[in-house]
Amino acid sequence: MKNILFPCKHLCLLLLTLTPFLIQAQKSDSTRTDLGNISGNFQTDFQYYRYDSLIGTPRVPEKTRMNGFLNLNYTRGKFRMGTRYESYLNPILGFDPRFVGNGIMYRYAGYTQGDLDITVGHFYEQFGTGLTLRSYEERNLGFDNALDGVRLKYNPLPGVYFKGIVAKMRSFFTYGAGLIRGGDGEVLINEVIPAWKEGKVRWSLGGSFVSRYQADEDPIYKLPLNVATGAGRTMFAVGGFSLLGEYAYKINDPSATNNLIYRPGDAAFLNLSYSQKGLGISLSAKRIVNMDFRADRTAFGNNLNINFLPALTKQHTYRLITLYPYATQPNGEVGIQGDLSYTFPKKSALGGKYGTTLTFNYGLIHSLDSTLRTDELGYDTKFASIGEKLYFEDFNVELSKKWSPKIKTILTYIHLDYNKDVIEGRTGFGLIRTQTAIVDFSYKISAKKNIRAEFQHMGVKGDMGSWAMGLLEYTIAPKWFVAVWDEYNYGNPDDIKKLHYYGGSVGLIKNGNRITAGYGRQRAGIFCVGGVCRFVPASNGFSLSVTSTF
Amino acid sequence: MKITRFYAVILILSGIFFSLNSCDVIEAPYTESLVAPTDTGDTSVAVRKVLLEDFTGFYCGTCPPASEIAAALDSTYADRLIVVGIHANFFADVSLHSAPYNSPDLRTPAGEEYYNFFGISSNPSGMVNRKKVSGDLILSKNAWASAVANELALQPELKIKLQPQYSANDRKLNLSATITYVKPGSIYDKLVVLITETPVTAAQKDYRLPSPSNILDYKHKHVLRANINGTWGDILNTTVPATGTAVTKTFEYILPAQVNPDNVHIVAFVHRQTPDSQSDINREVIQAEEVSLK
Repeated sequence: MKNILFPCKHLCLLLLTLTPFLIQAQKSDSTRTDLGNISGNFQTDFQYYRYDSLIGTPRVPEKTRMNGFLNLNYTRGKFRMGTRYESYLNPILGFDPRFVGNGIMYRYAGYTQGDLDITVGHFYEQFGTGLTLRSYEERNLGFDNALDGVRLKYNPLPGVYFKGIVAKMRSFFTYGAGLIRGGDGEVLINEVIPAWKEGKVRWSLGGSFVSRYQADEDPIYKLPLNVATGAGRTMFAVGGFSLLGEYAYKINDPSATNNLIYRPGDAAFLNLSYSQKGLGISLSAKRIVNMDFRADRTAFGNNLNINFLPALTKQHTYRLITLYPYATQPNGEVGIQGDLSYTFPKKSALGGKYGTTLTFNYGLIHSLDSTLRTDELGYDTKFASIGEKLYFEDFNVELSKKWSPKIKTILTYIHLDYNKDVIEGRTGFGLIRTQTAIVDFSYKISAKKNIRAEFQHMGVKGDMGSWAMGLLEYTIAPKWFVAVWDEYNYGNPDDIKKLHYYGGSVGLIKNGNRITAGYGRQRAGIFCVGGVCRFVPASNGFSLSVTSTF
Repeated sequence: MKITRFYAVILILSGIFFSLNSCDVIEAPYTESLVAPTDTGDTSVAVRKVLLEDFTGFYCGTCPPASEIAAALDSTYADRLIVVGIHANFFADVSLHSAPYNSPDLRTPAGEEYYNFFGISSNPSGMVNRKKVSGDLILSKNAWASAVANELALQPELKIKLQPQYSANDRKLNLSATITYVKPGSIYDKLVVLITETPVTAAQKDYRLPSPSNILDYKHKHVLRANINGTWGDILNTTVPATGTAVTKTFEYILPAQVNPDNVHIVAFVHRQTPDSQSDINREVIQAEEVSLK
C-alpha cells in the first residue's frame, strides 16, 4: 500500500541508495575502477480522444490519457538493482481502469555469490513451461503479475538447478490477497553423468510445486486455505528431434473463474519438433481441465494469474484477422497444432534465384468430453476423448518469396473458424467462419528507401460481416517511416455500420529514441475472460508514442 | 562460502517440504450453514447495516447470476443488507441495443457517475460499502458474501432513521432523515438519499439460456431510479459531531412518472469522504438504511 501512497519516498530511497555508486562513478575517471553499468528504457503513450458518434466512441471528459514508465537498472559485478516508475494519468482506453495513478510497483536488488543467486523485491519467474507458475509483464497489453518477495536460485552441481520463492503478486498498484510459495528443480542429465557429456542424446528432468495461501472469509463455502499445484516435465533431444512434455495437477480450488467448483484440475502439454537446414516441423498437443490458478480466488479478468496456459494457436499479426484471436479456456479444452516450414533451396525450380519459404500451420481446439454433475465437483471428463464442440480451427499457409534484390512478396491464406460464444463467454453469435487472403508486397526503391503495400480481404460469415483493408508504408532507413491504412467493414449486416476505420502514422528513430505520431479510428470490441466482460470502446483521435533506451 | 551453501540447501529443502504440506483438500459437504451475524453494540440504539451496489445492465448476459447472489444474501441478512442495482454504461445503453429489447432506459445520471468515478470496467461487478477488500474496491460476485459478512461484523457508528410521508395525489414525498451518532463522527460525513424500485419488468440477456438468450419480462430488483439529493449527497456536519449528536435533514421530492409508488423503497446511506491525496475515490459507506415509500 505504501507504494501507492508514497511513490516519491521510494524514488528518493532509490536515489539515496544509488548515490554511493554514482559518486564512485565520478571518481572512476581518474582511477578507472569498475563503476558498474546503468541501463534502462522509457516509454510513453499519449492519446487525444475525439468524440465520434458514427463509430460510437465514449466521451472522454479529460480528452487526453497517458500511460508511461521508466525502467532503471544498475549492475556492478555480481550485484544488481533496479526499479520501474509507472504512470497512468489516466489509463488509456482499453487498459484496466484499476491502473489509475502513479507509483513504483517494481524495485529489486540481488546478487550472485558462488552457486547462490539471491533476489529480494520484485522479480519475474517461470517454472517449466509455466503450467504452475509464470510471472511476466506485457506492458502494451496492460498485463503485469510481478512477484514481490524473496527468490533463491541455487546451482550446487553442474547441471543441477534449484529455485525457491515466497512472494505476493502484484495487482495494479496493490497486491493480491494470496501468499505464493513455490520451488522448482531441474537436472540436465548430460552434465550430471560424465559418460553422457559428449553423447548425441540430450535429456533433462524437472519438477515444480506452487502453493497459495489465502484466508477463508466466505460465510457460505468451506474454502481450502492452501491450494497447491505440482508439475513434472522432461525434455529429450536427439539429432534434429526434440520432445518436450509437462504434466501439472492442481488440488481443489473453488474460485470466481471456475464458478466455485471443487474438482481438481490438471494440464498436459506435449511438443515434438524436428529441424534441419531449410526444414522445421513442430507438432503440439495440450489438454487443460480446470487449471485457472490465481493469487486471489476472487480475482477475475486478466489479473493475478499465477500460471500460464499456452494458447497453442498461431498468433497472427496481419490486422484484420486479429479480430478473432484465440484465448485459452482454462476451465477446459483439448487442442493440437502442427507447423511446417520449408525453404526451397536457391537455384532450384521453386526456390528461384533467392529462395522461397513455404509455411503451413494448423490448429484445432475442442471442448472436453465431459458430463455435468449435480454436486460441487462440477463435472466429470474422459481423458482419452475429445468433446464435440469446436472452439477454434485455423488453417493457414504463407508463401514468402524474393523475386529480385528489390522485390519481395508474402502471400497468405487463412481459413479460421472462431466460436465467439465460447471464447468471449457469450451466446447468440455461434461459430464465425472466416477466409482471409493477404498480399504483402515490398519494393526497395533505393538502398535506403523502401515501400511496402498490404492488401487484405477477410470474408466473414456471421458477426460483423466482411472486411477489406489496404495499407501503404514508406520507410527511409534508418530514421523515418510513414504509413496510412483503411479498414472497411463493407459487409456489416447493418447498413449504418458499414464504416471506414482509417488511420495514419509517422515515426522517427534516432539515437535510441523512437517517436511515433498517429491519427485514426479504432473499432469497438468486447473482451470477455471467464464469463466477465469488459467493453473496450471505439476511439477516434491522435496518438503520440515515445520510446527510448539507454 | 560453505556455510552459505549449507543454508541455501536447508532453505530450499525446507521450502519444498513446507510446500508439499501446503494443500488442503476439502471433502463434502462443501458449504457451511450460514450464521446470522452477531449483533455488535447495543442493538436498541443502532444496528450495523451494509450497502451492496450491483453494477448491471439488461444487455449483460453474465449479470443474472450476480443478481441471484445479491438476492440470496438479501434474504439471508434481511433488513441488514441493502442492495442497489445500478444499471449503467454500455450494457445498459438502450440506444446501442434496440429490438427485441425495447427496454426502458434504467440508467440514471448518478449511476453513470458512480460507474465512471469508481472505475467499473466489467459487468457484473459490485462494491460492498465502497470499501476495498485486499486492495480491490470493485468486487466480483463471488467476493460479495465474505465482504458483506465482514462489514456486518463491525460496530455501528451511527443510526439513520427515515420517516417518509407520501401523498398519492401529487406524487409528493416528504422525507425526514435523522442521523444519530453512537460514536464520534466526522466533518467528512455526507448523506445520500435515493429511491429504488422492485420489481421493474424489462428485458434481460441471460447467457445460461440458449441463443438468443433473451428474457423479455425479467424482474429486475432494487433498481436505482433516482438520487433525491444528488450523486454525492449533503454534508452533515460543520464541526466534528460528538457521540449522541443528532442531525435531521428534510427533503421534498416529486416521484418520477415512470416509477410505480407501490414498488418504491427509499435508501439512505452515510459515506465518509476522507481527504486522501493519492486516492480521491475514498467514499466509504459507514451506515445505510432502507424503508418502503408507503
